[in-house]
Amino acid sequence: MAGYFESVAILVGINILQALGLFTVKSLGQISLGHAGFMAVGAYTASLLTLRAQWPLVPAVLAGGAVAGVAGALVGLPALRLEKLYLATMTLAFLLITEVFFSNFDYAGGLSGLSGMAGTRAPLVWAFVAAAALYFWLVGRARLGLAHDAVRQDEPVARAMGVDTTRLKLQAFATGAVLMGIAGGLLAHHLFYIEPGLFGFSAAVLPVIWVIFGGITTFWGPIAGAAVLTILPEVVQPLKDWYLFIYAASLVAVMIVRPQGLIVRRRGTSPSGGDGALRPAEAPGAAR
Amino acid sequence: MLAQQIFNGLLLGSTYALFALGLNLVLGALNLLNFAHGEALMVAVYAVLMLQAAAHVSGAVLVLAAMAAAAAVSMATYLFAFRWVNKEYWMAGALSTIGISIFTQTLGARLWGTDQRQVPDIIRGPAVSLGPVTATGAQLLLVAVTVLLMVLLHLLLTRTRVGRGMRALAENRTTAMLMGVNVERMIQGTFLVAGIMAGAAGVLLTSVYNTVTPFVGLNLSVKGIVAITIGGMGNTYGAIVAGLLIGVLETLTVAYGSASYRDAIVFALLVVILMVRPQGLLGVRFPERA
Amino acid sequence: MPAAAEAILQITGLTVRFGGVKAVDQVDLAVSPHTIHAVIGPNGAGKTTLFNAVTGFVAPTAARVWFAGREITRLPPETRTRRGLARTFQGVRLFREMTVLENVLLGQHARVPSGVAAAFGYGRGRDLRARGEAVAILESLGLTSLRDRVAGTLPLGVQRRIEIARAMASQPQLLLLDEPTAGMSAGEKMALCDQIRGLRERHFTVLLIEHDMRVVMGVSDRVTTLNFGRKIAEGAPEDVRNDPRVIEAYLGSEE
Repeated sequence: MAGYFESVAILVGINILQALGLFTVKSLGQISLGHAGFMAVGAYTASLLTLRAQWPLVPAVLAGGAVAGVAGALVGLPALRLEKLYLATMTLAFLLITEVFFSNFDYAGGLSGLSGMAGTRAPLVWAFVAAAALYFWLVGRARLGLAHDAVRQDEPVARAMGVDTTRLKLQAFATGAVLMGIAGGLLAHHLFYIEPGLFGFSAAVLPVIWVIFGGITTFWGPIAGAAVLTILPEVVQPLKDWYLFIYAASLVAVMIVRPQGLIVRRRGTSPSGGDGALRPAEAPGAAR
Repeated sequence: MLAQQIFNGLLLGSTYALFALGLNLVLGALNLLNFAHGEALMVAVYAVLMLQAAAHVSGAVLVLAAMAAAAAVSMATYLFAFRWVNKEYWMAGALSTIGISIFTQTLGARLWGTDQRQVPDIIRGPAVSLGPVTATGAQLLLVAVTVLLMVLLHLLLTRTRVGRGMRALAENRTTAMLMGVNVERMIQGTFLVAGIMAGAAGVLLTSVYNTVTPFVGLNLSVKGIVAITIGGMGNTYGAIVAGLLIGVLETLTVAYGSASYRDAIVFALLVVILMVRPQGLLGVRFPERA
Repeated sequence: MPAAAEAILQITGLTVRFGGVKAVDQVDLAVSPHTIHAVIGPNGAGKTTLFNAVTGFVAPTAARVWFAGREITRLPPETRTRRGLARTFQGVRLFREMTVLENVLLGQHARVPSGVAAAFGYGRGRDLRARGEAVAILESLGLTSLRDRVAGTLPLGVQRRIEIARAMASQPQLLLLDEPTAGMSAGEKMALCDQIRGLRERHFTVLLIEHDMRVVMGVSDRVTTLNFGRKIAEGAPEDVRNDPRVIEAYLGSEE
């Protein structure tokens, strides 16, 4: 049984994995309100494997991630063709359907869920976090990271440059789902139980808040966001009772004051003596 | 029996339709999906509850109070999710409404507890038999109010300057500005009307389900989003058709199928629509990118 | 079947409708390799729509488009770029938060390993060589000193050159330039004309939308004139300049 500090460390790590899972999608300028659904897929898969088939923890968690990744690809295929608004709705629909599915899936415990999973320890969680961070660091420095930024800034032009945006989005969606699935598997074996209600709308929204708060231009943003917002209620005890209020209010506040989040990656150098401000390009002429 | 179920379904569906209309108005004018619309409804219902407990007021006053309360929440949403929000980030408004929604729900849970509360009938009246269908006086009255509201909305949008301004805004904000439409006023008006619709929907809902929790708004928000997607985002008539459809579908599923599949059927319909006809039944906007 | 076997870009019957309006109406166009071909016409004539149709950003109502001998009519934009088409945009659309060099590197995306494997080191040799080429392109356009500056902070004339550099980075066979000299000073225009002529020397083919007649006369080998979506004249620059139909088209509109 993990002690208090280890418990917090585990939760921070799991939340960072969730935030990174959502980050891949948001770094392309896309949105997914349903990524918690992939967490559910991962959690249930891993739990069923350890409970019913006596798998050891790590392979079970990885398998959960893999299944979630496949689900991510399947959902992403139709969803990513849609405009952002419809994409948000479609991913939300996926979330809702997953919840209903698991509520009625009796082999996985239906409404009562599963219990008895154990084994998550902090070093294991943080090993996954380190691996994920390494992946994002390498990608961020490479042409793939550049391509992601390009798609986020101006998708049509990125396509004109030869970037296969559809494939990129699908990869990001699936990768994010894998991370969510792994986070779900680890969470299940930390909480000792899971039920469909754990992966509902609040579970879907919290990672969004962490990522927005932290910033989407670099992977350090979601890490910072998840870490800060998970630790804060623990450290400031009175905050804990009010944490939902505070989360909600800070989401609104961030949208008003600094939507780009805490950490913003600055590329390149600014001219000395200039103001470093972005100048608007010439306004487009009349339609030809 | 079937007729009664269909009537109940239409009643529930009218709630969804009213609610979805309000959601659609804001979406059409601002491209903003207002996740806090459900909370406007929730506050309206609790306002009714509080008033009923505090004093003996007539049904009419209760209905007006509900609309006023919902309108207040809607205007607050306007401020926090539109007026003051940093518009450079396209999702800022929608995310802010999510924040407002969570905040209001949590506040409601604090103030009123999370248990279900009974909401007494707005109007005490005898049950009326219309052929195979039985309806309470409250239900009939509220149906009348709903139809009246929809007609008024239609007239507002098509016959008045304000309404035409709102439609122009939905078409193209730049053109509307060039035409001299006071855009900010229109937007405020849109939120106001949407709030009123949410309040009315809330009152109507109490005649269908006599209980309420602080999370009723969340449920309605989900159904509302489903309704406007199925009906076609931004399309007024689509919202009505889809809302009624969902209401009937849900009610029939509970009556003849299994209660636990009630929501599943609706979500399944949503997925089918999104895959087969993503612009919705009556929609015109094409949701797929070039 | 392409009419002229040597045309690098062949368009037949291009028609683009927006709602009830024909932005482009039955336009045929053939661009010969290693030439500079200009498209001119008053505002609203359909020039940028033509570009958008060629590059795949707008779906034509009717058309057949061949590029380098193969039909590209139904291909998505990214595939056309991989086949050797590159473009700049009216008004400049750079990735404003990136540096100059990064913009140019983006242009190479399709030519160089750019996926997950590359992030882990696959194709490093090709990546380094491509970076060298990117630096060379910057130098050829006089942008070397600005390579690490954030693109969006630079003046318009410079941004134009960056956009051209980015388009060149994909080693295209055909470069589409949309009003490259708009908003530039006379000196800048002359410099850009030199650079465009230089592109031809280096065996690029250029299709150019331009409003400034001196630029058109100065660099083009062939000029096509559009008005109201239709082709009204085509030929060598001197012929087109004196063509009464062309003059009437320009006089009949606000210029």
